[in-house]
Amino acid sequence: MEVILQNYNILIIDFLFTLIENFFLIKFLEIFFHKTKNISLLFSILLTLISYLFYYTVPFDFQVFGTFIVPLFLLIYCKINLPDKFTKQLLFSVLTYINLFLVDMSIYIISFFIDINILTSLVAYSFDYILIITFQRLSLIVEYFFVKYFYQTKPLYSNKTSNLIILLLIMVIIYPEVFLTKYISKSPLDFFSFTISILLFIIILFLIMLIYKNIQIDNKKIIEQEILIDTIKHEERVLKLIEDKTTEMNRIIHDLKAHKSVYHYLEENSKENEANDYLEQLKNSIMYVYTSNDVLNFILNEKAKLAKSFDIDIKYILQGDFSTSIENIDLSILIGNLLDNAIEAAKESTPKFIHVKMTQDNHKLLIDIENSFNKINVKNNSFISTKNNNKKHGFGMSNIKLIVEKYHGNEYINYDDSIFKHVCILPLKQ
Amino acid sequence: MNIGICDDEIEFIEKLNIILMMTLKKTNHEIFIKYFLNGYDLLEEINKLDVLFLDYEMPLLNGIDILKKNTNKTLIIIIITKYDHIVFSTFEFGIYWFIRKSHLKNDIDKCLKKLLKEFNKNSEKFKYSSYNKSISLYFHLINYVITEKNYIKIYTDDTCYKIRETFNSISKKFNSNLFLIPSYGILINMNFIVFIDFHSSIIYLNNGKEIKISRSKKKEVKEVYGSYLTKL
Repeated sequence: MEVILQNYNILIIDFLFTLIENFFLIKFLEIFFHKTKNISLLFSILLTLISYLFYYTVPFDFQVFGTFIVPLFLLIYCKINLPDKFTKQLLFSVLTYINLFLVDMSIYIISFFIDINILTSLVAYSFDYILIITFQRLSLIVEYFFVKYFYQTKPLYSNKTSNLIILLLIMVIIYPEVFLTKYISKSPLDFFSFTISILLFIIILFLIMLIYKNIQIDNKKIIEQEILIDTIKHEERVLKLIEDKTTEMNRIIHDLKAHKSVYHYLEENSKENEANDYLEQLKNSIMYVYTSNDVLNFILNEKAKLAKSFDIDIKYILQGDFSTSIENIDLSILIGNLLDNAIEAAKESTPKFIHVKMTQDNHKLLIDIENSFNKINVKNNSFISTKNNNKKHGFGMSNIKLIVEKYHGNEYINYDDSIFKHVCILPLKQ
Repeated sequence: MNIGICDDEIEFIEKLNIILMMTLKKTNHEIFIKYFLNGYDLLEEINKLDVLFLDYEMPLLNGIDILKKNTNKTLIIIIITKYDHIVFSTFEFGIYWFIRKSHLKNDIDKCLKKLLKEFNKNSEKFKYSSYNKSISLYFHLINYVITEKNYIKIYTDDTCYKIRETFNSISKKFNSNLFLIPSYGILINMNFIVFIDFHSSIIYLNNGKEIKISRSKKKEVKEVYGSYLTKL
């Protein structure tokens, strides 16, 4: 320690290198976030300072616990930036930490071939040391850009994957604890510790690959599961609607006699226009939009009725043959949720309107919904309605997202002070 | 801009005419309005029109029949109807919007606001001149632009203009509200896009052409196309 303190230049270089390393680790972690708070540099300086403080104040026997500083910090950073489940935060911080670890391990293995005694060079701050740490940082940076480029799916995962993650975590902790301190520190590196290092290296790499692959598979499965849950809820709603519809039909049949006498009265008094208007009104009260898809008709008409009950001016343009579209259940969840959101927003505004444009051609289904709205709360890139039951509305939005994702589609949202526009495009398999 | 109104009720045409004149005279567009009382007269002059207000329910030739026979691809069609909805079993007609006789004033105001925005854009021209050639083209009529060796090829519906220019020098003239760049050297008018398949990175144009998106432009294409689709 005295040697190091005497040599300030080296201390500064060392500090800078550690800072770069920590900065890229934190950047790496940020790949997983939707939104960052721009405190990555501040945080990496803090992390570097704390680890330095730790190594210069804590007695040598306990320094092995220093291994936990970085993952702990990453976890804290995750907690600040990502309001999510704890397991998810743990997953991200472990995945990030493992990168650092893999780079370190690869250097130990390389050192076997090029005959550098790592521990001595580390202490001596020789040219080899500079070479090694430069290589370390470079590989970290390369890894960062590599993952940033290829990371696209949302990490949803099952219990099986989280077990794998725990296994990985144990391995990562055991390695420096047992092997690094007991075997590798015995320099020069012997054949036994070399084999163990290689073996561990391969196993950890394999585990990481497995986890990434599992995340992708789980992602798909979980999306389907969540849609299924909503499908069941949706079916319950449809059952209730059918009940309502039956009651309504009964009422209409009951009223038919009365309608008949009104019509006759108007006709006999030669008020033909009024009689026609009356019939038109009656027609509108029963059924409204007709397409070649019964499910679509049902949902559009129900929502139009709901919108009209709030005095919302609702317009539909439907172009294309909807008889073979995406699966009916998905279509009704998608349109139902989109229209529910639009109605929810429009009923709080003045003037109230909803314009729906649906086009289906050989390639795609395009749903374009424009509605008036009053106030919007933007939180974590998702829209939460002004109604009290925030949870329910958020659920609707995420369902739209799930179905759009299921069909590899895209959705776009735009709004100004008074108009909100939501466009979904789903590719259709030919 | 040439506006056509086709309706069998003369009173309604007059009403619409007054509203259009009142709203459009404030703008600095030259407006010509033509009336057609039936579909046959309309079809004779349909190619000269920019915007058409078409009654959906007419005797003899109704709205659908006229749309089926329409040959003007860039025509902006606005349907007039007494219903709150229009349903077409085919997708080819590309209806811009519709207005309801029952909510005439309100609907027209909204519709014209959109229409004028569209038209302000449509009045911009791409101009190019060299020692032996000069070109002046409306941007909205350009389908796509492709770079080939030292030349730029500009495609419209029926012609292809070849000019000696670099892509960098002309690409700045093309507005990203209407044109997107799927890969270096190519510009596409988004009005002519049928569908973008982001999964296999292919853009399908309405003339059957397929254009590949380069990997580095994929994110940008997604954003530009998204803001085109959701423009208010």
